[in-house]
Amino acid sequence: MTEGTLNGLVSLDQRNRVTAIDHRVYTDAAVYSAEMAKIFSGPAWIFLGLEQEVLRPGEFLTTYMGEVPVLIARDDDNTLRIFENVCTHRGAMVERHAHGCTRTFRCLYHNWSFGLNGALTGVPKPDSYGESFCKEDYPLPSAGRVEVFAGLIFASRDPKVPSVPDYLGDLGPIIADTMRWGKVELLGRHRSVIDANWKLFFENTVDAYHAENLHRPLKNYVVDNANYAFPNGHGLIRRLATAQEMAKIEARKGIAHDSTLIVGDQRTLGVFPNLLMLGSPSRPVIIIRQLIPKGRNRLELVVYYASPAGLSASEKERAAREICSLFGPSGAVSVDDAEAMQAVQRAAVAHYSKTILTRGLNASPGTAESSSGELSLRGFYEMWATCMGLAG
Amino acid sequence: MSNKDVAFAGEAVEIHLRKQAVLDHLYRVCEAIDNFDCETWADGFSDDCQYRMIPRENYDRGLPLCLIDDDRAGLLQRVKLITELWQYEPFRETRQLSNVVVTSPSEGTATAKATIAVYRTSSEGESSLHMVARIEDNLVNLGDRGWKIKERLVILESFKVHNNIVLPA
Repeated sequence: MTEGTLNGLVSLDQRNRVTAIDHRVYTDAAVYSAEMAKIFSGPAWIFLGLEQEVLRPGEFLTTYMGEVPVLIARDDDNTLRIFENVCTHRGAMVERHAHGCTRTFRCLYHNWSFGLNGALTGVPKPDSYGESFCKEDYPLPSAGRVEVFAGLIFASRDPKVPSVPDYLGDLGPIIADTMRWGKVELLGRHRSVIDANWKLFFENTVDAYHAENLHRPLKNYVVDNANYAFPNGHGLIRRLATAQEMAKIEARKGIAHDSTLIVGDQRTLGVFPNLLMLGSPSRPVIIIRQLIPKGRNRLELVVYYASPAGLSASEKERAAREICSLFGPSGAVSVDDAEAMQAVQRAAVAHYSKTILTRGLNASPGTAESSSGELSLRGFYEMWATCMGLAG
Repeated sequence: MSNKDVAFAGEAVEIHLRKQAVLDHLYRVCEAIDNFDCETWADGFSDDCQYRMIPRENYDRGLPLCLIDDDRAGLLQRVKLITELWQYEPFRETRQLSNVVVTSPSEGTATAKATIAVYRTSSEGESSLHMVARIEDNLVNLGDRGWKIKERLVILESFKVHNNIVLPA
């Protein structure tokens, strides 16, 4: 990459650092189609759900990989598989429940049936196809490789992408630690749809600068933070409060009192392209957000709220009650995030429309100078440009 | 008519009036929040109230995570968010409460089950359905202070929320 703009969409300085993004990345139909092909079907791991929901043979969940409907099922031999959720006869969506347990996936239209390993097991009146018809030729189409890391299900269509631990790099152990190595239980889900491009949500989560500005409830609670960008587009914000600052903050009363955002070692991270996570080893709720693009102007969220395994029912209720006052579509913090993202998308068609990403340009990751910097956002777009094959 | 008939009729009228008073209270609470009159809205709840809004999918799965789970202090925090802190684009909402079934086990208590539809109108005048939900209320009669909602459970059918929920159902 050399200084200039990558096909007019990404600007670089002389040191090949991303410094600006053109907002056509949020509005252009060709960009969106390319993203579905080159990122969501490309050399990246797409987050698709929690292992907790498909622990036992027969259990399945349905979701979307980019825009493609997929089915994830646990086979009798304990293998987790991912299929395109499409009947190989006439293309109907086969499994229409969000999750469940079954021996057979049956298409409503002509009763074609598939096993947990995707094999076509049942075809009514097969004789009409003649002797050359072979059920083995029509299994549920595979949607690629599936890997579980710390209780998180990832899939990729790219056979050459390295394993998930290699893909995550140094962020991997931080994620595993936050996720208690997968030993978690589900408190529930929040689902929402926001009128904004999917990338705006990733940007918003790994952006520390907006916290005290957009979120008025947090005004007196924001402490310095450490920003990181990892290879492959991942980002991390970690809180840097001293013990004295923590004591002062914890002594205050108010909306963000007892906030999970300020207690020790809070991690806010993003795994390129569609996983965002908030959590801390000392707090009882881990927030795991799955981003699903729905066209250029819309994103869907499936947000899992998990607690470390072993909490009592009343501890879980209490943890759930505390977390929803801050997060979720009616949470003190999240309400404003949705407003900000919509505001960007609405103005994105203006003739002047770009994002400048120069905060903390010369800061080293993890340092005090990186506080409220944009290292994670630059890292995201570096990987984005690479996947999109944008030439310098 | 015998005295017994009159007494029976009187009791029936009393129950009917009580149910009507509960219904009126529910309508006034809707009207208040539609008008962003949060003080009147909050006053529609008792001091020891609990307001819970839960997504239908969590409710059906027996999972504890709500969208709103406020005691009175939480409710008043929410009022502060609505009136002072949140930075939402101006809008109007129109609540439509219907299918209301009120029972009144005693003079001082009542339950109400209802359906609510909340329409959003943007600052540009575009209306859309924002939420539809089932409401299950337990109310108490505080004498001269009237009926108050002691427990409200809102089961949000529209659990794929559009953008955000600024005003509770």
